[in-house]
Amino acid sequence: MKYGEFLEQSERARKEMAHLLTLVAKSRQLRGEDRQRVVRFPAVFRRLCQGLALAKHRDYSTRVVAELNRSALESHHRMYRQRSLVWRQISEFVMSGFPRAVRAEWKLVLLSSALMFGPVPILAFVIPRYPELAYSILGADQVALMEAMYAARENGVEVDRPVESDVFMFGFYVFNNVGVAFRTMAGGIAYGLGSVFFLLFNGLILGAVVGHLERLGAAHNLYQFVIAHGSFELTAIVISGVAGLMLGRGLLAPGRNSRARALRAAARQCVPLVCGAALMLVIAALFEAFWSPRPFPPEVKYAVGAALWAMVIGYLALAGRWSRGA
Amino acid sequence: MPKLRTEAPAAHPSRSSTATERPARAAAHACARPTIPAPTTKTSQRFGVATAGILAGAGAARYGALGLRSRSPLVPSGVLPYRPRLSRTLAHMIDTLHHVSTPEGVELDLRTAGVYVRAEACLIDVLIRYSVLFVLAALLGRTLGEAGIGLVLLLVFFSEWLYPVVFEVLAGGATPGKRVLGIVVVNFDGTPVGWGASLLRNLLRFVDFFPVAYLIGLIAMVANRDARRLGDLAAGTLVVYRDPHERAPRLPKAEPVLPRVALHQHEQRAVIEFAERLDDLARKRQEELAGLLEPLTGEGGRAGVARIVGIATHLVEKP
Repeated sequence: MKYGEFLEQSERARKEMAHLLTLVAKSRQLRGEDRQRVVRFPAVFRRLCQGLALAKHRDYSTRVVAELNRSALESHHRMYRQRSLVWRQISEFVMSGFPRAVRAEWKLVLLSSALMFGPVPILAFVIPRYPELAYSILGADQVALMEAMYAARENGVEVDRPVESDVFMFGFYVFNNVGVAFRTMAGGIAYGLGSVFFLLFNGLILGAVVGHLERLGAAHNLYQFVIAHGSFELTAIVISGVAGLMLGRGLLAPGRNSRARALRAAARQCVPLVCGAALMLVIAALFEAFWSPRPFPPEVKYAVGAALWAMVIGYLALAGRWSRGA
Repeated sequence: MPKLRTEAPAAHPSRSSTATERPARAAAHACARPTIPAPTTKTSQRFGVATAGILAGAGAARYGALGLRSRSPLVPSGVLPYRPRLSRTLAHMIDTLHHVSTPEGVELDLRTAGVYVRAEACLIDVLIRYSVLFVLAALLGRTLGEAGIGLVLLLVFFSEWLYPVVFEVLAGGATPGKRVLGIVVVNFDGTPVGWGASLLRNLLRFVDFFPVAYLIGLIAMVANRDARRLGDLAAGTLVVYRDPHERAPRLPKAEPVLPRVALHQHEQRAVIEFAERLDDLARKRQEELAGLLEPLTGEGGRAGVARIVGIATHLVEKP
């Protein structure tokens, strides 16, 4: 076969592929003859690939190779498209995939929780004895803000906040908290250091606030406010910390893989954790904006909060334990 | 020591002589020796340079400096003119093509996008994002008050973290900025990115941005072959050029002319490619390039150009 013949043939294959690609793109609506034609896609794709290999091997001109390469690449793209996200996958993820992924990393969950919650009891114990510590951790402005929010008012909650500010707070919480979760995870690529930093940082802030309010005797206001949404929010931050620590572990202890490969593997595995954590934070933001500021009696708030904590922990510990598949 | 170019080209299914061609080739051989003054190192050297020049002109335009590499074990690597002049590692270092081997047994070439074009795309995206946010903020803030600002914050969150993800997965691998500049995000094996990979590379944008203006990302990009930032490394993705459609090559009409010497494969290619690109070259440039091949054609100027096109026609047309 001479060059000219080859050109004609490959041109024909490329034209057919171009037509097939438009057909395949809307394969669901195809009827009759077109439906039959689509079946030829793999065969034409292989022919293109063969043509490309031949053109490269015979050192045909740049334009010919480039055009065959482009055409083959386009069909390769179509051939190996990953299945798109469907509702079934989402529900499977929520019902079993996510909690399973969390449980698979239970050691890191413990580590991440220790980093986040460890400072809290320590500071709650230390700060009433060394009050100035709260100022060095939080800064004077923050302390004043905390006092205004929780210690100055009788019940620690605003009465009759308008719904508009609830929506505003919802937007703010999603923007802020999901951002924190994403940063905590992303920081893990610095050999886990970023995640450790964000977890400890959050733990220290939380501990300082608790300790300071304990000293003022106003901590119950804080507890009433945070207990409900804290169930989702704090756990989600811990989980995003786990995702970050997974990245760090991939780099620190790659095992028999190269570090780059181990990082890629770890990154793939941590995606469900990040997605789950983001979902939990959106739920937390709903509670934090619309439920937590409502002036219900403390008993109700504690009861609802306890129920939510039990639900979150139960969900993460048990969901998907018995279902098969995935 | 450059090879003499007077012997027959390596036997090859596409260009090997058919029964009818053989006498013609023999004739070409026979007359080759006397007509070229001393079948010499000097001539062939000049020749090698000329074909390399023409090829490099064609190759560099479309394919990066060293796009033309033969990876096939069937083709001895020595047939490409400039291959021996560069050490393997050097060629590897400056080659910007990314090769993907598919299950169909073919190697696809992807042209990776460099730092500059990606920064430009990013800038366009930032402009789009912020102008849309600005308009919406003004609109929502005025009409819905505090709740509107809450919605704006949601939008800010979305545009900061998820804007690229949505576009990369649902709009064929490109955010609007990337689309404008003709680049797309793909997996390392050339397949389209999915939700997981896209989410990863865009969440890690935070680290790449750190401490200011993508400093970490920039360091990562210049430190590896495919200009991948940390997000790309972790997600196993790559930003590549989307190749434009190219019209099918067409030779100018000409009477076939037998070359005075049998041409090697890469020389044949240079000649054909010259003829194919004739329309893209200025007349002066055509003549200049043809002048380099005077030892082959025996003529310079317009006649030389016509002679090369004739040889190309001979090489291409059906028997």
